[in-house]
Amino acid sequence: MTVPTEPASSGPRLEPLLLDPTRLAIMASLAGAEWAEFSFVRDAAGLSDSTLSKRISQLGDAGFVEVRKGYVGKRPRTWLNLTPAGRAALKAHIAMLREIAERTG
Amino acid sequence: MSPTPEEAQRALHDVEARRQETAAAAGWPVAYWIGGGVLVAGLGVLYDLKPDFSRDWGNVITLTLLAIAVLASTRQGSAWFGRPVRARQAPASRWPLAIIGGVLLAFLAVRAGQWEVPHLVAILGVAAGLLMALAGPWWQHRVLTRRAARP
Repeated sequence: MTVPTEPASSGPRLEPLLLDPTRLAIMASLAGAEWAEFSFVRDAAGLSDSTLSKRISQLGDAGFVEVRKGYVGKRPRTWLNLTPAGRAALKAHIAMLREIAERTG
Repeated sequence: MSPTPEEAQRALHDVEARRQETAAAAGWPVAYWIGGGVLVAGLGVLYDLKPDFSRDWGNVITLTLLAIAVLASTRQGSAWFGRPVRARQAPASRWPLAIIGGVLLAFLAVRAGQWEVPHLVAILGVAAGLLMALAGPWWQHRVLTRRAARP
């Protein structure tokens, strides 16, 4: 019997929510930064406002993404950020994708 | 349903490309680095040639530049300066190193003030400005890429 050296959540694991390419694209875009504007993520992922809103609310419900609203001058802005749980889930998902990809050979 | 190895490979490439795209968006445009370099060099020359200006305005200019730097590192400040993304911050473990570097730089600046080299302030200003304009974009790319790749 092997003794786990890390918590189960940090090991390679496919996150069902991230099997959707659009949600994975949003998470990957957010992974490279702390706080990205809604419009940037929308353009980077090539989505409409409503599609991104829907996906963000799903990711938010899972505790992966946090949303802040504010103003820059008089213009309203929305910022998105990965939560620590979101980063951990993405890390575990990527690790599992690597394991799967290595099976090619 | 688990992805096939080919799908996993494609997903990994996509994730990496998107991370790098976001990291690039978090950086300042090259024009800002060149503008900053010209400003630093210009201030160095001005302080050297007009010591009275340095005495009257030196602290105000330094504090203004510091305030801009701090503001630009916030979420809203980034948006003010046209950056849609706030860069990932350095891990806390790097702060002691940054503080030591800052203290060392301040110590060197004080020591350099005691050297009797003609136009030393102008020379240092131009050197710092050139360094900022030429090496700034390269350094920024390196830092942002490494931070974006952090899990």
